[in-house]
Amino acid sequence: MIPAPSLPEADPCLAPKPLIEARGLCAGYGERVVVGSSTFSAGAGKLLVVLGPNGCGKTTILKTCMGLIPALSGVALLGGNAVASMKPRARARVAAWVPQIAEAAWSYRARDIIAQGRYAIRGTFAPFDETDAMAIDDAIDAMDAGTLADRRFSSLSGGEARRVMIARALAQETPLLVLDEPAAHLDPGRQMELMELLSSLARSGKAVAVSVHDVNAARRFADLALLVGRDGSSVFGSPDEILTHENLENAYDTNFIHGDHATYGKFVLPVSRKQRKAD
Amino acid sequence: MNDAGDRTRAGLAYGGLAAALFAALAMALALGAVRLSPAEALAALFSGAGTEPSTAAVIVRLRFARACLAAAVGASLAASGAVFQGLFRNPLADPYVIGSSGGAAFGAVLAIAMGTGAGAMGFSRIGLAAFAGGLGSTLVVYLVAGATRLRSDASSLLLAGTALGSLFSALVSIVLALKDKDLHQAWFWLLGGFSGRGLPELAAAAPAMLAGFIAALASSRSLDLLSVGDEEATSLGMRPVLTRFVVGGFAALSVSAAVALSGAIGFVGLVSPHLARRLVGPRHVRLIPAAALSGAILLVVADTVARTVFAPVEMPVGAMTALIGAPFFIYKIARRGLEGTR
Repeated sequence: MIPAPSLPEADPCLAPKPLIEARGLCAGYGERVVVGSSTFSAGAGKLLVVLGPNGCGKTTILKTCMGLIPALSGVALLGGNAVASMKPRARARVAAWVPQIAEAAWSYRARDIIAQGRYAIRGTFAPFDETDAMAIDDAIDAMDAGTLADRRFSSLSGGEARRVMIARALAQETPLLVLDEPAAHLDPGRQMELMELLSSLARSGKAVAVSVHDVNAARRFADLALLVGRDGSSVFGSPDEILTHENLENAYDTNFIHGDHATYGKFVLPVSRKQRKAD
Repeated sequence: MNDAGDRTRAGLAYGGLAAALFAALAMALALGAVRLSPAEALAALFSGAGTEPSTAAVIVRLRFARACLAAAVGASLAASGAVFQGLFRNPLADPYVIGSSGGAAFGAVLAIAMGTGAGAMGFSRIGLAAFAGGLGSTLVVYLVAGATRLRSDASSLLLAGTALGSLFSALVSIVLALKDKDLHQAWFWLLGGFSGRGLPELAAAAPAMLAGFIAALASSRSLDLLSVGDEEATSLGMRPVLTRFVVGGFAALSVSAAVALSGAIGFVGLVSPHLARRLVGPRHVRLIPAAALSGAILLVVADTVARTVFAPVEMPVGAMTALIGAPFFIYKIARRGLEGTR
């Protein structure tokens, strides 16, 4: 079982603070603005999906929210605090990061990689105790990674390595998980399993922010959606109001068929590429 | 193999390394111009302090001092090598990557060229100059890397260290060209060795070497985290740049002390961590002590060979480490690949 995260006490006068929040956030590298003035937030129990075409800046905006790259303007907040003023340890106690590409130097075992998640709690010097061992074992169980734990991390397949990375994030026991395209290179079954897992993590009280390409999975599982366009503009809201005919067509320069299936519900299928508008 | 298996294996490896170090020390005491059996040598070493020491005891005590020196320098270089490989995620990193050896060589050659004088704090003048040069060059590398736009990521530190190393070799060549009568002494210093150094010099260098070793062990969890790269390590809650400065600084302190003792002995700091990684795995808390033991063994053996094989001519120990270490290392790689680099 995934232990319920300890959340900050709710202030009776205010709505609970969002765990991840961006206010007019511009993200990019140096002079190059990738995502312009984006505003969104997600609190405990919410699954936020970030959608958009390749190269639109999904990774950039998530990294900026995590404090891994500085914001160009606007504010990013984690657990109600401006991320720029937080120390890495404090950030790592609020938010766990699952990067798109996972690689480690040397031949560590997967368990060693998962144990890295405990650094946020134990710091550089304090020895691990039983709570750490339990958190690590629970994370391994939650990700069904028991058979992977003793293998060399570098010998794992892409999908297996990602499960280990998510296990590390769970071992960190943060109220917020941020994942960068975790579904990449997964087969349809594993993709479905992943989305169900993220959704159940959100139900268990965590906030989850995840970038995905699967519009249908987003509509089916997400509570909130941020759709980023190729020009860096973005819209934020509930999936039903964001993933509309017009918004999707504009964002992806693609024509979609919109359908409604008796069992599945609403879905879209890409049918043809549109002529790109001149930039 | 699982976690418990790893622990058993590491325990066995430590036992084996300790036994090998003991054997190497016994051999170092026994071999030389006056040849003794290992048992006689050990008996002579531990003969009563009150009695008039025999000739054998005097010789053995000299050899013992030298072997201790070799073991300490080997351990210090190997532990620092493991630290720098971890800090830079680079299997080719050695204790001298951030300029310590170049700076120390320049300091030493400058001291030789300006004539020898009294030392201080137990160090010879050359040793002091080498220590100052080694630490100074690390400081310059830090300043250069910190001032660049790249900040202090692993590559800019490596590049600054390499560039400064070349600069110092140029300066060494210039000094030697101007003062060519010192060439022989300088050449021998640059190759590295232990002749003429004893326990007082070791005592002077020990605090810095010990501080470096303790800092290396204390930072082992940080070094493990750095294996996933700076960005991920930051997301896990650590500060890679600060860690690289502080931990690298302590390692440079230890390396500078070792170089001040014995000159810049190569190879031992590069290969010992790799050999240790094969024995106990990549986790630094196990790797660093195992690397230190491997380095001590390698250098004690190399020094014994250096002073006995072509006696009475003494070979430079730096040449011996490579002569013994390189074929062994290549054999190990050829057999199973460089474990742990990917």
